[in-house]
Amino acid sequence: MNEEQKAGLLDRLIAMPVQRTQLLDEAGATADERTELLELADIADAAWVSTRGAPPVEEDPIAAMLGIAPTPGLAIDPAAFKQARVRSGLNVSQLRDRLAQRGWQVSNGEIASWQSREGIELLPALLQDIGDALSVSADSFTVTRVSDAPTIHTILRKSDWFVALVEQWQTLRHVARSVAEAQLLTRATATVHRGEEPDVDQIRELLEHLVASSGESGSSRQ
Amino acid sequence: MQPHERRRGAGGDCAVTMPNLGVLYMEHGQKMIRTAAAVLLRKFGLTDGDLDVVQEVFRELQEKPPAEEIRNWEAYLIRVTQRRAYDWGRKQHVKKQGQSFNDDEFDDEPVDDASEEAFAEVEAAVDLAARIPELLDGMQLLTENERFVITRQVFDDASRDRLAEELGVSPPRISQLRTSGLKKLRTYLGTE
Repeated sequence: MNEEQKAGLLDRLIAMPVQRTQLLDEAGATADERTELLELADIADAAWVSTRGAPPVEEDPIAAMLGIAPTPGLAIDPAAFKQARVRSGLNVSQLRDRLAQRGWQVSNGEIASWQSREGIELLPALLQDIGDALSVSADSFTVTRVSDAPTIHTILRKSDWFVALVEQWQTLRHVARSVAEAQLLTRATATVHRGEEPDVDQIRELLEHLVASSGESGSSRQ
Repeated sequence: MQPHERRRGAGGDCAVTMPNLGVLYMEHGQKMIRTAAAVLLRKFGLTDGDLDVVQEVFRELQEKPPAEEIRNWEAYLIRVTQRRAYDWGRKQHVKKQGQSFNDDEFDDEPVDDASEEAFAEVEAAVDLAARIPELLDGMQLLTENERFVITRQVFDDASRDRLAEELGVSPPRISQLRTSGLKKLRTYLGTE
């Protein structure tokens, strides 16, 4: 096989990764040629695989589903948080350790700042775990600052159908209302591509499907 | 509390705290997506669906957490991702072909049984992909045309004919440029 034939065969190997063995057989490649061509195809595959990854977190449906997409406006209430922590009997270090068991790496200083600084926005999943650690609902120590600007979040928050879906999601997922709302809002945001006008009907359809399918999968296992 | 994210030890009295799934995704999501992409590409010739696979893995974990304590979450998640990617690839194949899946059409064994070799191959592809930032440094060794072809063909999925037109050369010349570029990268990464 000359170099031009090898280059042509490599084209086909890269284009048809499933049929590589067959293509090499058909071309009558020698053992050395096989090794060389497969190594080169591996490099091409790896280069392509390296381009794959999660989208930006605000557009990532998995991050939204897991409550790790930031939700603008969802903040910790310092006084309420401190009160909940003191009532729980956990000191700052103990709370830090509880959160560390769930994988959150937060420092005592950060926890102290949650008690003293207004407007600190935390991920919904972290808020839920803080609530679990303190044995209270995250709703009891969070505040949601609703902007007057007509963003997709404010539009949804004012919609009766969205409020109803949040209640259903809260029940299905066993999470605080604020966390349930944040998860659905980020999920909705993930469907809106940058620079495009959000389609509220489309978002409603998607969220209704999400909640319904989650409810079905939950009930089908019982 | 999310009961599906908490469980108790086998003895019943020893509470075991499972990591938050969001934290696991932040730590291992990238590798999981690449693992799914590698399985779908190499075993099924598919260039999408990786995010769907990983989303399905986490949805399952939300609904049904593992029964045993997981000591190595990365290994566990990668293995589950591989299996789900195979399942997803097979479903897509059936949809596309309108027929039942025939493993004989593929190079490797089905995922359920003697698939360790297939898994190892995918892991090798993902490990190699993790070295791509290093590979991008190696791109500096390429000629301008080699770099252009590799970047546009491999990363942007541009066709050979289109690149030939853009560079004003013949399509076989594009193949030669890609081959010579890939050879230099292979040498750079030390995989030969």
